Amino acid sequence: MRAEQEHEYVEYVRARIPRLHHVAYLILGDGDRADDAVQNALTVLYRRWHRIADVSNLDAYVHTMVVRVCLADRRRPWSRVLLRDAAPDGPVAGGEGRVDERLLIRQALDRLPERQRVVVVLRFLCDLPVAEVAQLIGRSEGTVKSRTAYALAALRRAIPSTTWSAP
Amino acid sequence: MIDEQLRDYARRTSSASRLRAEDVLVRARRSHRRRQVALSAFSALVLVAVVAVALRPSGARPPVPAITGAAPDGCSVRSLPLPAGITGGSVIAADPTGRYVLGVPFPNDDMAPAVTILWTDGTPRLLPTGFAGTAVNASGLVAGISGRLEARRAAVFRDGAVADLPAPTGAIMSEAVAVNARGEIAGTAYLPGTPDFSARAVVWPPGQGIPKLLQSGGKDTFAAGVADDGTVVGTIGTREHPYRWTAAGAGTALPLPSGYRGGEGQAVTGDWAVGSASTSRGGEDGKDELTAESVVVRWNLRTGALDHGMRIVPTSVSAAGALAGRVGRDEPGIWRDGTVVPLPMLTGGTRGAAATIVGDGHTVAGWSATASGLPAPVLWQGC
Repeated sequence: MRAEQEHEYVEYVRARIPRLHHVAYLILGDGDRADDAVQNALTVLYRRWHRIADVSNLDAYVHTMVVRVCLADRRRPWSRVLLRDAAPDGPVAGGEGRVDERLLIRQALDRLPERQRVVVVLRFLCDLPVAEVAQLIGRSEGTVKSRTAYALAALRRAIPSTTWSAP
Repeated sequence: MIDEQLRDYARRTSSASRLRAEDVLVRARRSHRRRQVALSAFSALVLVAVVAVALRPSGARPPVPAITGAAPDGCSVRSLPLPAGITGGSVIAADPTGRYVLGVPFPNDDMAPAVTILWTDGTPRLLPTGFAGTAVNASGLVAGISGRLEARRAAVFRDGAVADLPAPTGAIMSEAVAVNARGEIAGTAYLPGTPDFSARAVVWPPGQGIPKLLQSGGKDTFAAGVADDGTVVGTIGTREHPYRWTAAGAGTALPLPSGYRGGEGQAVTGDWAVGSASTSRGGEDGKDELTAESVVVRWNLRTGALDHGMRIVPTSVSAAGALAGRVGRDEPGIWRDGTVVPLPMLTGGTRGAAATIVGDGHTVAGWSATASGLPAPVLWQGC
């Protein structure tokens, strides 16, 4: 890649890292894994940079790439070995209202069945439309909607109603 | 309502990236060059996550709980050699003699077709690209998965070639996860169902004929391991109950410790099975899982005895009932006779995990970080 193209790439990347990391963090729930995913996506972007002028909406394109890397990351055998959650040796929350609400929501999300969690994270945390989620996970829009309904019902039941009062 | 709260959670959740644009460029450039040079189809992203691992501040992790035992004298660790061009890796499985070991390069680029490393007597080779090995037996028969995500199919690597296993009638996806001494392969097939698909544990007979479905009253069933006598251990429903099927296909729920209502079966060797129990009932709706507590459980399938609460996250159980896995925060260890035994790491490494414990109970395969921060596939002996 020519020097000026590399310069453009670096400036583009610098401006987008925080937002891309945010998306990856919402999906993966771990800052290090999020950084790995962003780096992986940006590496692919580097390879394609010379023909990126053909892409009409670059931000959306890169955003989708990061989401895809994250979805793949969640499924790989490696994550079982290296990145499994802490030893299952204690409850995640007390019952005394002192638990950080965000931790509570994160844990509730983590405990959803994978297929439901993915649609909730993409739909509401990443704010993607149903059609785009359907395309990303290779399922029909109807499936995305039904999984969303199941997941929201589970979250409503799982999270104490007091948690949902306005902050 | 709840959807708004989720959006609010997303807005208020923040995590600072440690990536710097200049470093991203350097790694991307390096990876690009590697890709151009490399002829094989393995991950182009070998170097990518390395720095992230190396830079993880040790102070960011909570204190490691006390480890009760010490590694026995003579317990040693050595790294397994990597194929040319691969700089890091981890172990997935090994056969009960330790002769065959399966691993993956690190980092494993999931955007690319799968790459599996098979060591035979310590010598590595790459299996055909696109095949992800999950288990291997003492005859060198490797079970695994061909294809990715929604297109995955149970497959084997045998006599130098990958072959798909026959899918049960109507299955849209399948995966093989375990293989026993006589070549029976356990896995899970996915059939069209409501709302999207239903899962059925399956066993392929030796020779890979038509698989047998393992049922439990119409619930989803998942296989995790198969013992040499054909016993399959797994789970019914979404983490609803650890379960076993006899070689004849008769299923029974594995008992749970008092006070626990759900759980999973995760591995089996000989008379021993290992898994987890949760105070949640599990289930597709995830109800009550939020505040649940879970523990490690070990079952003796012959006597019906059960014990729980071992301080290890196990990945494997030995024929003598020892567990191998991760202890503390991120360290390799085994649990044997009530004691957690830490395993030594490579020089300069501070993290690692055991992936599998082989037949003698003193040989273990897994990974250890190295001084550079890269994970290396390792073999522990005499431990």
